[in-house]
Amino acid sequence: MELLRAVSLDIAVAGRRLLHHLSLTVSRGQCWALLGANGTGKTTLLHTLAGLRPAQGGSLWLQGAPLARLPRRAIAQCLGLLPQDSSDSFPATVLETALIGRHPHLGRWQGESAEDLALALDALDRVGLAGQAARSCQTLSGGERRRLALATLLTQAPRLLLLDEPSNHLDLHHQIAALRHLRGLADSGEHGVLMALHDVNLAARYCDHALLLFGDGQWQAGPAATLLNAEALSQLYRHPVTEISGPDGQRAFLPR
Amino acid sequence: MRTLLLPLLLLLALTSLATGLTIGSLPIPPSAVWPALWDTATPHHGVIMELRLPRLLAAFAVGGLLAVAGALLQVLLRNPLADPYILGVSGGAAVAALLAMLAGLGSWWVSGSALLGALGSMLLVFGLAHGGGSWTPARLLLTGVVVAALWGALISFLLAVAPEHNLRGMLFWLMGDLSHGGAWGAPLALLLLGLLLLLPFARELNLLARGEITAGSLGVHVGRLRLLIYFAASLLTAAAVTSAGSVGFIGLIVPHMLRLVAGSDHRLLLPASALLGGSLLMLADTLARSLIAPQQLPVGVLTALIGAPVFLYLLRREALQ
Repeated sequence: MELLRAVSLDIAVAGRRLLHHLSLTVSRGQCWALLGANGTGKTTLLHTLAGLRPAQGGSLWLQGAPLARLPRRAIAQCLGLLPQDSSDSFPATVLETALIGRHPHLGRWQGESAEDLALALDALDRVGLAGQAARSCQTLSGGERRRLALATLLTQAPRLLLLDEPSNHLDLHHQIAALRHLRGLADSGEHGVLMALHDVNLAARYCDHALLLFGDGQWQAGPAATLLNAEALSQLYRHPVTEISGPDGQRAFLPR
Repeated sequence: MRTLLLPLLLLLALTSLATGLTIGSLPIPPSAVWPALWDTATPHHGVIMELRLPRLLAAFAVGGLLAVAGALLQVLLRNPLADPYILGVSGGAAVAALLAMLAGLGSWWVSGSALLGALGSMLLVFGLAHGGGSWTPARLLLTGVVVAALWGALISFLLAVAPEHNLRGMLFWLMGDLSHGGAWGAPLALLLLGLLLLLPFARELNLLARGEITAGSLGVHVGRLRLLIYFAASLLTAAAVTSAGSVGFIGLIVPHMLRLVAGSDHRLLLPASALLGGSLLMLADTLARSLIAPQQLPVGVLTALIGAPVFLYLLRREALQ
């Protein structure tokens, strides 16, 4: 079932065209990798898809409704974004931070219920922060902050998850755990996932679709199995890449 | 701690009020305060009802307004060290009030001019920062600080050209002063109204404090919320400055202190700021009129004298943690 559809979307930043006529449909059950070199517009595209900045052309549809005309709260009930970095100017605890994910589901006069609390604690558990609920965010390491941000997104529980480099700052174990969890959400058939990644091997291993941004307006979208190959990646990153096979037959890419 | 915070602060407010009623150039024993409130025949009725109670209520309202405005601006500018005066609202009020004093107008005119000056400055800063249509907290902060500096220069100019007999009144106004018995009804009503209007937005404030991308992606209409905060904080500050001049430090230190103790949930922080700000200003004003009685000090001097060391202590403690 279709979650988000982009129809001939144009995106430019400061007069520089990043994307030309992007057409894309993200459906439930799909896990998309968004790949591109630095500065090719991955974050800008994610913010545009989340309705946080206007596109220069084209249209966006969220579950069949025009995104630009939906109220922010309605968007947030169905679409969530993991920002590239989160800063904390003010003191807060881990649990408080996860609980802000419930905001779009609560009325103006409503407080968090026991159910919301349970969702937040469960999300903390899923990112390996169980038992840390009362800790102050200012004492967290970079990787722990990243997992907390992911827990906030899981607490929000949107149908469509947009993630801006979810594996940033994560150690090897937590990278695999996070990506496996996101793939699991897509496999459940309830959610769609679109994530910007810098690690092509994580993308090849956990994503079934890929969107490549070349930075000059050109893009390619399609099944990861065919789209991700040494030739395309070499062109994408302007650096030679070779494909090798892992011991269990999984594909891997090595920069030369 | 957090569930007890509001009852404790309420208790502090009542204690501060009671203390303020008993202390002064004419000491009134605590046992005589309660009957004097209700019985016109008691000897202290006049002093309490005509002088002390209105002044204490004005102090509470002004302290509360400043603390709430400070908490709001800290979120808007995403800076825990922002205070209600940082964007020039008080400077605009001061220039207009000093002009009214120079013209020899009465205290009603001075207050009225201060209000107009504050609102004018608020619109000027917003208009300049808004510019091409998009405005960011950084742009707003820079615009506000520069406009405030301009007001500062104008204030110095007015003080330099003012005749001798006007100077004392002008200086007291600038330092923040409650001795001319400012009205308490309007500021207190505005404080309550402001809290009632803002509390439903408190959870959105929590989100905006974490940045506009986070807030926007969780369903907050960031542009609208920022407008609301800017105008609410400016109006609250304008009301406070109109009643008492520029009382310093309350708006900076109260929300900051509460954030350290009770976290940054604005559903708790906004009412707590009102109560703590109000209590502290009642206590400071009681000191201001009794320390060197029958002479009175401008209360702003005391809030700065007490506020600055307390603030430095908090900063130091924070750094040590």
